[in-house]
Amino acid sequence: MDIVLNAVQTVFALENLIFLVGGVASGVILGAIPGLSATMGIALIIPFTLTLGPVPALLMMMGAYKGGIYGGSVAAILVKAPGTSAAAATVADGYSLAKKGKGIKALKVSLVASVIGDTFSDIVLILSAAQLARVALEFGAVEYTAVAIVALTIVGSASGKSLIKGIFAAAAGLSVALIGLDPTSGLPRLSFSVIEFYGGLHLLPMLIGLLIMSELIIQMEQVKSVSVAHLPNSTERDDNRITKSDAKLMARPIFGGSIIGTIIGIIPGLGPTLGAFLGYDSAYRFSKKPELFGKGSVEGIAGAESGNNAVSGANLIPLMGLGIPGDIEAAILVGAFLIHGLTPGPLIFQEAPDVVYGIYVGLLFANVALLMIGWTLIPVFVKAAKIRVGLLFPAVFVLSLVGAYSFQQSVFDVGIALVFAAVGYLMAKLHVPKTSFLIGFILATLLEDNFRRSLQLSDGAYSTFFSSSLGNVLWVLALVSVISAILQRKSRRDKKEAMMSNREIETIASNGKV
Amino acid sequence: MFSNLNRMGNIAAATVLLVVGIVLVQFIFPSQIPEGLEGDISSGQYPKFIMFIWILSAIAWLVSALLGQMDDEGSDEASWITKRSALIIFIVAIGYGVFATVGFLAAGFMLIASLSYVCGERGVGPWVLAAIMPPAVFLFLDFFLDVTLPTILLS
Repeated sequence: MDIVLNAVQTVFALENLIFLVGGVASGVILGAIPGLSATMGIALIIPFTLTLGPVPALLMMMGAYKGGIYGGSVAAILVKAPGTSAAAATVADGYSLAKKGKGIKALKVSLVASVIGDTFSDIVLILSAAQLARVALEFGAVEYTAVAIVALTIVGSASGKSLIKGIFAAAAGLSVALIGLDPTSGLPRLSFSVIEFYGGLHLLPMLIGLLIMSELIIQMEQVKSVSVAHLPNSTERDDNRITKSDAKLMARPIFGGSIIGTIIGIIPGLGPTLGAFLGYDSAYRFSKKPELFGKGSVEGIAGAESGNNAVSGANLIPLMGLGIPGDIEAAILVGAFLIHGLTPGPLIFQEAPDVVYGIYVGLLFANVALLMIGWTLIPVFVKAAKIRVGLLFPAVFVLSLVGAYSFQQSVFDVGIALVFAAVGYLMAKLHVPKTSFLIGFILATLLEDNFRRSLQLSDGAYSTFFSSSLGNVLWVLALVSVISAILQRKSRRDKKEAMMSNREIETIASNGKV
Repeated sequence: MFSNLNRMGNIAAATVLLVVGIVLVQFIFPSQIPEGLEGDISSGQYPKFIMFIWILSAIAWLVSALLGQMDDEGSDEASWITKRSALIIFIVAIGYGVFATVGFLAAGFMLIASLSYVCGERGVGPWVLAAIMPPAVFLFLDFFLDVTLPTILLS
């Protein structure tokens, strides 16, 4: 109990509160700008938290994460350009409401749904992460090897469009992590006599290059002078607030979206976009007014937004319990933990319980902060959504250069960031998922340590990996995730082919009639 | 046209990555991966295990691309290198050179002004931003985060 009270005291210290609220506000603003995202927002914030303690730094980034996911819906509703891919499900109904002069109502519905979804998944996180960590502490080297492989296969098969590319990206991430010192002998490995490589590649410059710079280059090559349509503003009071009937309509989709988003968040690799679309889909299925979907349905916005925000807290369950980041945002948070001398995973509950509880309290308060900031600063977000991106992107690019440099005050790190910007650019063009690559890189230490320890304990016999019953269950899980991904993709392709051949038949038939 | 671009891109990428994987295992690893301590049989095995997955997935990628199974991945980003993207990459490369040799203020000014121009921004806006932002960031980092960005005038 003392530890919880201490955590409350820590979070409510003025300095920490400022960083938390600042993180939420900057996350919403960055998320609201089309082309920027929650991912870029937190990656951009990390370098500016280097001099902070672990609790304020992590609070700021988690605040930015939550704010960023909600912020994506602002641009979706007001300019029909989702600030994040997770907000794509909100576009149809949000923009339709805005066109009817009910933009403020749509923003408020989205905000309330986001906050409730977020809070629900945070509570699940608080209740379950420590239990998962307790189980994980019983794992041996073989089980940990299997857990890492399962996480990589699930992420590899779930993220991106191709299973093969997902698996390749994970292998590439693991192999990049080979650079540095051999963990057993301490001798340099793949360093090519470059002193900077002796310590291995650092996560932060890589994150900045891969997630921010490459994305900015892609955004800049597509930038157009977007003319924002002037949307009407209704003066009717009910059009600018959530009425009682709206609240009644929202309750069920928010409940459904929160549960779905939380489940999606726990499974590595799925992410908030799927949470949003499944939340939207469940709202549609159980709606009494399905005909309104796509034309300005309050239920649609509520389902989608609670679904995508509920992913954010649940995402931290595998991270805190097993040390496995389930998503790209969680991967960035790993970087933040490591920079501040903490390793997320089961041991963190013993080594730094004050930080863990500080994060828990901070996450809950971040939701309150998001509600207050979102409610009062709507006009600011409206402006952010209409900002001139042609000016903004170059400025953010320069900031990301600064971020890469300030980690170790090294020009070499800036070069590394630019190399990974090029890699990220090519990955985007080739549809190779960056999530798998990053999670491969992050899990490399866990995998290598346990893989090698298993082999050392068994005198090099590979059969050791199948000697534990829990390990075997995990191997089966890895196999199932790969097979189900193959089957899923096959059925999707078959459906697409069937649709195309039907269309061809229709075209031939209509030509015949002519 | 897009599916052709996708297929060619995939075939080229998978071939290059397969060759890189083989070169790494055959020629680079023997000199760059340490033997390990006596009795440690795992030093060389782990990197080979990783490269085994690399090579296997590169082969699968190549085969799928040759069979046309990756053609329908979407074509929004398949336009590949346009005049604008080539220009952006060129500017960024020059920007890094300026950052490393002359310093942050010059690099920041050059990057903001030229990238804004490439993004279609005209008028005084980009110039004002390019003149104000880099010094502001420089001072902020110096005063609040104790980070001094490279500037030739200060060395």
